[in-house]
Amino acid sequence: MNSIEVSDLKVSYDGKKYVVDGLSFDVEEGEIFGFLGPNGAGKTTTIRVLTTLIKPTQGTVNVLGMDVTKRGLEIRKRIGVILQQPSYEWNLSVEKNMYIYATLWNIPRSQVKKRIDELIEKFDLAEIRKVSAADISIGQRRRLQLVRELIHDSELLFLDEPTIGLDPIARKNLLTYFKSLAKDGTTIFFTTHNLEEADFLCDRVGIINHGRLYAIDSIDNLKATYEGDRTIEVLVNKAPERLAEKLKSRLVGAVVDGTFNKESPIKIVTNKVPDAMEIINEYIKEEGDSLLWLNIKKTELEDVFFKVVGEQQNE
Amino acid sequence: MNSTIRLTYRIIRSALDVNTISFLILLPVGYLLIMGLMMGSIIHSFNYGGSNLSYVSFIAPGIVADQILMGGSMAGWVLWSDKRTGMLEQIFSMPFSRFQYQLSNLIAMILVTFGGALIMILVAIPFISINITAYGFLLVFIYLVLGTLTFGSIMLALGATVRSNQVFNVISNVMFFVVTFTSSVFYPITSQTPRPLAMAAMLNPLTYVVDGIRGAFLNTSGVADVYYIAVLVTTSAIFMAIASLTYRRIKLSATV
Ligand SMILES: Nc1ncnc2c1ncn2[C@@H]1O[C@H](COP(=O)(O)OP(=O)(O)OP(=O)(O)O)[C@@H](O)[C@H]1O
Ligand SMILES: [Mg+2]
Repeated sequence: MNSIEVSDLKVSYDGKKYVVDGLSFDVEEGEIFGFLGPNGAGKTTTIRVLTTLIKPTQGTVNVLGMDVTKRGLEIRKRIGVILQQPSYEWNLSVEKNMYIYATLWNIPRSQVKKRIDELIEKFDLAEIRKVSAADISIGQRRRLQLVRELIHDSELLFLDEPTIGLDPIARKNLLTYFKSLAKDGTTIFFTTHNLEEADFLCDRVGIINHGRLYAIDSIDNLKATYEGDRTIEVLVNKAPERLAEKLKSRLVGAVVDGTFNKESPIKIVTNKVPDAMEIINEYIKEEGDSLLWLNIKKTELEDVFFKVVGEQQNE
Repeated sequence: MNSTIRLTYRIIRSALDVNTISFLILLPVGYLLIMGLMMGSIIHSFNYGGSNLSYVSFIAPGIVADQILMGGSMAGWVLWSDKRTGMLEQIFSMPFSRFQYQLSNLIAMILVTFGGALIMILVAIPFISINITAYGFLLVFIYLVLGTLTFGSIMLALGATVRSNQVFNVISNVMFFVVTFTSSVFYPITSQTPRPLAMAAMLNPLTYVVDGIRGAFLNTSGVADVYYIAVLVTTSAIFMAIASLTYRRIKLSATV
């Protein structure tokens, strides 16, 4: 069964421009689905629709088999939502924040204390348990926001960049926990800018840009699609912008990107490595430049993302 | 437990910490005792509604009525800060309707008004002469509810529209004092009251709440109550409509 079914979803905030522009995809029950895309791509907007915070301007969206425009309240009973936007009761302690949240979710009194104690222990909040949310660090607030959502059970969890601001240990701890939730049948819809995380956590990912889906598949399949591709990183001294120009005009089907300064390398994703090398050589001879750094590596999820988004921006 | 009750509980728990409660209580108690008893030494007693009254007995019902501003401003502040701290959007993603959230704001502010009014009555009782009937209590109840709905809705509209902390605080504080001091809390509005002040008092809904509650305390209620209540029903209806309009416009929503 599908937990999420989106068909031709369009959303406009101002009535003129569609920031989500014809999305269609399904997420299966028990799946961890990663939603990737650059800033402003429309990820949070999509999550707002899926969590019934805003209405679709056009298209149909079903969550847990229910239409988001008609049965919002019923949907919200069964989902958990960690928004990108931070939120907390600023004048209450970490612990009281959790207790109030448990009350809002109507968790039976007999279970509340046990659950909260467990979560505080598991996610290492004991030290700040009695500290007011106004006086803890930003990463700690994010942790509070994440952990309180785990007080109640949900069939479907929406996580909008959940790990932002977390230290590596907290991050790992949390992702592992999400994985175990999925094993027990929770469906997870997840956005992140950290592609290693997506690689670690997700069964399938969708890549969105300017409100449209450009790729949607399992991570293995996506990598296989770009199997022949290699990522070349090259750093030169004199005129990186000229090298980039050359590569762009002569290397058919490649994606070339870089900020063209002396610190960050030009990045090329292509299946024609020898051609690329030739162009680089030619540039070095012509300009009398020297090669500062060159790296050729196998395609990672990051490169797939880069290529999908890049190809579309080159159009 | 019912959703609205849970939301109401949350609003009260998150808005009322010890400092806020102390402020909410000490300020009016200060007015009541300092103003009431100090001024009592220069205003021995005066004729009000046909009987002789000490000044503290005069202002006590006014201070009780003034509690509607406390309850009302709390609700406006909760909405404003929930918007700011992200809690509003989070709560909207939980199993509550938007109507329930706003309803619990109204209930919470009425409860806070009642709490404040009860404390003020208990503090005042040793110092004042009071002659209230069961019917008088009912009237006090009605005036407090209508008054809170009126000023609470104004504050909710403010909370829904204003973004900056300073602007919200300045407007709400100024309103607080202007409303209190242009009403009949501290002095009776008579034929000797300067015209502009009398006009302001007449346009100020708090005046009707104060006069109504004062009448109930002194057992002088009468036909005037019908007029006072009609005015307050009208003002609460108008401001609730405005509050609901501004609430619906809070920006999360995409155009449909
Ligand atoms: N409340 C709003 N009102 C008007 N426009 C908005 C609103 N929220 C987002 N937008 C616009 O919609 C577009 C998509 O924004 P969205 O927040 O969905 O992006 P995102 O993919 O989540 O980006 P990020 O990675 O930065 O979180 C952006 O161009 C943004 O400017
Ligand atoms: Mg976002």
